[in-house]
Amino acid sequence: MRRLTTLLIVVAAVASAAALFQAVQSRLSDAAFAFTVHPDVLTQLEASRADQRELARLDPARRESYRVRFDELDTTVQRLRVLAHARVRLVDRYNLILLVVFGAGVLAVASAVAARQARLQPRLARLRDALAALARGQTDLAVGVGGRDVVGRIAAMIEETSRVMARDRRRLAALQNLSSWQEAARRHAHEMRTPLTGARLELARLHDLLDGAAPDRAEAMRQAARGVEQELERLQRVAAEFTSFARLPSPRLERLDVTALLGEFVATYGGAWPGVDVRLRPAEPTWAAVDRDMLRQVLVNLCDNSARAFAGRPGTIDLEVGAVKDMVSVDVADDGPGVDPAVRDRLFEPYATTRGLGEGMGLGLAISKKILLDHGGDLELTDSSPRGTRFRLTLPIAVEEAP
Amino acid sequence: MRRGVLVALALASLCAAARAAPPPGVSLDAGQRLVAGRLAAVLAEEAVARQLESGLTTTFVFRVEVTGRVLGGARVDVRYDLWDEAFEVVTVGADGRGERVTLAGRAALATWWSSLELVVAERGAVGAPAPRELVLALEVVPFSASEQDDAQRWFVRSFGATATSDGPQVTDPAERRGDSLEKVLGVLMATSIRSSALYTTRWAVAVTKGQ
Repeated sequence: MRRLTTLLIVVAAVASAAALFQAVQSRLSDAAFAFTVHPDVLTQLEASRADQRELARLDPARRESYRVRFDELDTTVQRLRVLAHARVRLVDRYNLILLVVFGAGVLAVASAVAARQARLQPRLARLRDALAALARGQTDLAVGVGGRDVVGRIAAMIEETSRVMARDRRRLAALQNLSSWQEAARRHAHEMRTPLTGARLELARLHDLLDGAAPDRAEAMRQAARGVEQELERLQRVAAEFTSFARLPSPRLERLDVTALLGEFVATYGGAWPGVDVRLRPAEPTWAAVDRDMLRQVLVNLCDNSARAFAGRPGTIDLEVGAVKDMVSVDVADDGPGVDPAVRDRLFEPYATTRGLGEGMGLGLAISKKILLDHGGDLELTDSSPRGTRFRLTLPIAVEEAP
Repeated sequence: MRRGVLVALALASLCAAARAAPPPGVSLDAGQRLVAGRLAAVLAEEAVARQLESGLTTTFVFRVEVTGRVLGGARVDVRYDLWDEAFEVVTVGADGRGERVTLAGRAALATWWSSLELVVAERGAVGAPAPRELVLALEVVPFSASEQDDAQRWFVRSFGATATSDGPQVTDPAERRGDSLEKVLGVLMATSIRSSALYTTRWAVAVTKGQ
């Protein structure tokens, strides 16, 4: 349709140009031919011809030469008369030839332009596809459009851009990986060094007690031994946290009413965080395929994060059951200060945390995300602003099995 | 000036005489041929009268038709020789017989023309019985085929004249191609130089019995 429109426009343009050309040209050529066979020309020639005859009469000796000249002039006059008679046809033919030449020229140009367009279209399409791929984040593109024209240069630029993007992405990934490892190493070192230092100090105290003769030596040695035990338990908790992340079990799904499950959670854990009001928005029974304990673990984790974000100030956490497409959704929204933008993009990656050393390994959201993905759902950060944070859990709907 | 006045007067008198003349007639002669006569009115037309002294050959083509069927025709070529100031007239009838006469001036032409009788259809073409009525058609052509050819050749030559007349010999192939193009254009243009009828007319005439 677009081609037809273009063709019609071209034809109309050519026809208009031809009509204009014809209108101007016909006047010019008519004037030119009129000048050629102007009556004055004929009159002068006829007068010259008559003069030859008169001269022959006056000078009979040269009669023959005058006669020859007379015949030449006469022939020219007769030819011009014939031309004058055919003037309209001559002008028409002249205009027709010029019109054909003009039309052929215009058509040749139009054909050249059309051919160029036809060659350009597939190259532009490849360029468009390459740009779309680039916009999608695809890297190391090969556009496959050569040439030194604008299109070729743009294609080369796209390829170069995609190569630069690929290189930067690899560097960024490598840096992020390195950074993650560094953070993990730092946190591991700290988590292990603290209890080890405590245990070493307690052992030193035990040595002192063994060497000395304090009257309450037995009690002091018991205290030191308890201190060593506590530090070793702390080390065990760290190891357990790693184990829970590394060996996260597969969920054992049951068809459960999520609304009821959240009601139980609020009843059991609602008062676990001082100053935090955990509320469940009223909802109809909503059935999903859920591992009860794992969902509880996720909710505890999210509420714990919110409570930490409140930093001792009173706050509210709202739980809301809903539906998104063919999934059950659970929104966990607080009115805290929002997620730090510095970690927002890698919030669900391991060790991504804004907490200080000794306040956790930054594995909670990574574990929660993994649990929801194992359910066939997901965990997403849907909103974060200074007015609050909203996470959305999605779970597959559990249809009632036929009896 | 005086010559112009004389010509104008001659034209006027010729036209007046022709207008006064009876319309052409066609008769069936003893040999069952159709003969056109009383043709003086033909010269009455101003366009025709002006053309006669142009120096070109004015051709009068007569044709007889019955219900659209052409029975035959005849031709009269009139050319004014400006040097000798005489009309050279050639007639060719339907029977193939020709006559060539030289007439000194308009008056002689008018006289000769008024007595002109042309065989316009042969016996075989007339058929039996002979038609009682027919159409006599006339077409006046301003110049002959040879004059037309001559003008065409002259026109074509003039297209390439700039390269061949005064200038140096053309050796550049591009220029030679240009000359060829000019020739082609000249021929294309020249073919439009064709004669068209200066004057046409038709008379419905009753066929009379001649001698």
